[in-house]
Amino acid sequence: MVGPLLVVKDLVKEFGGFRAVDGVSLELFPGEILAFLGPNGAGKTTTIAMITTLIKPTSGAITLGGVDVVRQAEAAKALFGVVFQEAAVDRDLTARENLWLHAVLYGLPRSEREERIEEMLRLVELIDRRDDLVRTFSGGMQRRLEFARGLMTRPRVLFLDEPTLGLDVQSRERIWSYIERIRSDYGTAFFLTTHYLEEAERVDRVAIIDHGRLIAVDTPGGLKASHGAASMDEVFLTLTGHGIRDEQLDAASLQRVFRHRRKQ
Amino acid sequence: MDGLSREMAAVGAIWWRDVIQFLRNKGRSASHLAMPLMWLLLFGVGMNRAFRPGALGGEISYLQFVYPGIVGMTILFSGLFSAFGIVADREFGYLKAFLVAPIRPSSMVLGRILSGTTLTALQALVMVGLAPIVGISLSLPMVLQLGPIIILFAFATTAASVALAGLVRSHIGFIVANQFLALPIFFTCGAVFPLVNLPAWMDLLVMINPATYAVGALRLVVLTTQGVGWPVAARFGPFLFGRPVGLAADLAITVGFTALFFALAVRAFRA
Repeated sequence: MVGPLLVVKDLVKEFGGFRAVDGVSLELFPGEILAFLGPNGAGKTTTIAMITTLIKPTSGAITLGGVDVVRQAEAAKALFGVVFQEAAVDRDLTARENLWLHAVLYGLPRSEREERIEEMLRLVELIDRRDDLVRTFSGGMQRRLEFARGLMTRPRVLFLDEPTLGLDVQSRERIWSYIERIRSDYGTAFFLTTHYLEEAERVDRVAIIDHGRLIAVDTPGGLKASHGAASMDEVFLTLTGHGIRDEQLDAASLQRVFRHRRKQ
Repeated sequence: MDGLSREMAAVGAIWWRDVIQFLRNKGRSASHLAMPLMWLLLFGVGMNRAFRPGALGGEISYLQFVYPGIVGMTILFSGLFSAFGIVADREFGYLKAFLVAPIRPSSMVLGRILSGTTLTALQALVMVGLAPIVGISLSLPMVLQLGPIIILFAFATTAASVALAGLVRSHIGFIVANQFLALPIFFTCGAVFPLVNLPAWMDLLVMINPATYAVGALRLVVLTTQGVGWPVAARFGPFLFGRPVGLAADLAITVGFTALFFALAVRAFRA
């Protein structure tokens, strides 16, 4: 049995007196696709920000491929890729230039850069648009380019924060086909958040977080069986209730998190 | 690639991105390069009319006095604003792509400072080329001495800008902080009036103003290469302990401030 790739243990993040993440423990195995679900403000984004070194945990441990993510952030950064919720490609550069910049930042050897960029642009079907400025791309195309960017450095795990948000069914389907292909070709693990619960049906395991705590971790089939539910929607509503949540930590307030981090 | 060459490649790529963005935005690059001409004509020529000949002692004209001040002002305003790209990146969510990349925070910061320095210094160098418009004769010694001072001061103001970008939360905050800082620094650095006969509180502001010494250095070089003797060239300040500050001391103090701002900039982006 292969050991876990990512181990998160007793992870806690406090902002002022508020515990945004309250003792999360989780494992991710090589090649596994894990959906990390929860209502708005449940602690998803904060958890991912800690695992991807953007903010420091108040307490707890994170190891990725044997590397201590908190103490050896730089070594850990080389092992994962991230596709953020917000557009993280430069609209004033071409598709190829975006990937080139990323390749240099990740220290891809000069001799491999061009080849890898071509390969990625082919994978996400943007090879014909490689020299066009990204500002001329549709939302779906930008997302695909971000996907290529995240995968280009062959990470052991790719974090995807709502990778299919706001995309049409065709684009979402395409993103999922890339995920499955990359997993089978390279054994890459995926750690993703989504609010489209039908997408959580096609992953290996689902982890549900609410009020900063994990309330369920199981296969989609296991979760449905144990809650007598027909769909993931039903499981989710049973576990997290019907009330609407205030967004505690949206993208904008993550900036305040960065400030907070620096003061520590 | 080994660690250092990898970091240097990252610095170069970040520099390249900012420069290519600048070149692609035609409106931005055109106005950036036209600005020096506008400053020189409007500010320099206009102010020259307002001053009686002999107001500065007779040996030099107000234009000769204020020209290095306008060069300094251009660097100050342009450099202090140059990290706006970082603030914009943060608001678009793109900054995170740099923060999760396996490079040192100092590499990211250095790349941004070098691109800001390039564009800011370019503007000031255009101004040096335009010197004859305001009656300053171009000479090789002047250009060779002004060049390094311009680059140093551009680096200092850009580093301060990056540090500021790390502190503010929004682009509005950055703009407000810029305006709040730039004008007092400008008016107390000796760019537009001699640093003599000032009230004590203003003397203090002049003394702690990082731009004072860079502008002092620019002025000493411009005036001495125009054939103005040291006692006259140094007569407008800055002064420390009652004596005019020489070129070497001006530069040493500016280097000190530059190192401080660089350290603050790195600190602002360290995880």
